[in-house]
Amino acid sequence: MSTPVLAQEDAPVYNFGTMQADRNIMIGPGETGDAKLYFFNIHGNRITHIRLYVKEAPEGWNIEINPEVHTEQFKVSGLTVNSTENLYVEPSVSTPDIPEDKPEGLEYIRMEGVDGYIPAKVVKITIRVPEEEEAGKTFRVGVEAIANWFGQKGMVTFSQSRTFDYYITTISKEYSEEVLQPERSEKTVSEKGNLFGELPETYIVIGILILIVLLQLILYIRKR
Amino acid sequence: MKSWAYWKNIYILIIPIIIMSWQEILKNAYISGFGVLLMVAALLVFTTPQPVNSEAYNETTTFCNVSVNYIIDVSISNVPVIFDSLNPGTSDNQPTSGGWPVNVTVHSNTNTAWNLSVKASGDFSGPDTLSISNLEFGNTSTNVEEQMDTSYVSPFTDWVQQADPSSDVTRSIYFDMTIPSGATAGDYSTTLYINVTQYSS
Repeated sequence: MSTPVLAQEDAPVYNFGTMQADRNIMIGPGETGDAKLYFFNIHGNRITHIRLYVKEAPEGWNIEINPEVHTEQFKVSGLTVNSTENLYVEPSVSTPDIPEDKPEGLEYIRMEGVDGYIPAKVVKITIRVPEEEEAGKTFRVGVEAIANWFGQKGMVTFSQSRTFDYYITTISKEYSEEVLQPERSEKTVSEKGNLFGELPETYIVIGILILIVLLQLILYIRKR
Repeated sequence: MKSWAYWKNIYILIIPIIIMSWQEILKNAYISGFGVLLMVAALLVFTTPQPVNSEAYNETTTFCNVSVNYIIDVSISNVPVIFDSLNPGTSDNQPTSGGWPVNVTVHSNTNTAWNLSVKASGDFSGPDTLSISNLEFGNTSTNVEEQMDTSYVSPFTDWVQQADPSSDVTRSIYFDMTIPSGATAGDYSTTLYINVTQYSS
């Protein structure tokens, strides 16, 4: 049971900050690749509860999200509330240095416009490509994150959602390289398939030069 | 297409030979065997392709790649939207708490172009159901005319293809509600989703 305590009298601000790393990944058939998503809450004053879904994936692919969906208990204004979620992110502030006793699952990231280090919770997306998948193709995997907040008891409550796309290029397990011979068409042979690999105008010029030389040789022989 | 440098070399080679040849023909002059060999050698030298920049063959290259992470940081405030008690058959009711407007702030640490869209989880549920189309929204207080849907919609130009913000950017969403005639009394609720995702061209 988690017991994060947060008491705020300010007007609620529901913040959902994310950083997506590893958007383009290369994975071999039968292998797995990892990508990280970072979640932070430096502009809000309420705990953000996040649930992630696989929104889109090629058939037969296995996508794992860690931490997995689980149930956490929270005490909200004196009431015990169950939340089904992957993680929650408490409001925080940036720190000038990374603390030595860094809590597990927390990383400190830097970004433009914010001084110091921002504490961020990390979600690992593990993508397994099926053994039989063709190499050399690119596939899209979509993961959707939905952020919710407690304490909204109204007629219309709000969630934030965000989609994270990953582009997975399948590669061969072992490195190989071979020269592919282009198919020769009639046009290719007539234009480039000659002795020197040059275009016809070169031969016109060479022909004229040979004629001149022959003419001079004839003159030379006659003279003798 | 042959370059100017190519034709220049050809002309440099051919013009003196033509001039020399006509001079020899006119004068019925004598050219030595050595001279002929020299011309053939020159012909071979000038028509042999030369590397344009021999230094390029001594360079070693390596691939350098960097990937910049996608950051999106969004806050919403002035929620939830509460309309209090409304009578059936009334339209364009403004909320009594929240929602006039709901503020969506895209913070400056966001580093990508973005789109904003909204949807509802479904119709209002309560003692009966009220169609979600009874909830209207707009991006100004005088333009609250878009009906809410259960699919994401992004009907305003200042919601789509918005540039990577250099400072915090706020978009306001105004809501009003129509209660149809004959609506059953009771409390109704629904959930709205605000989606801010990177815009990809």
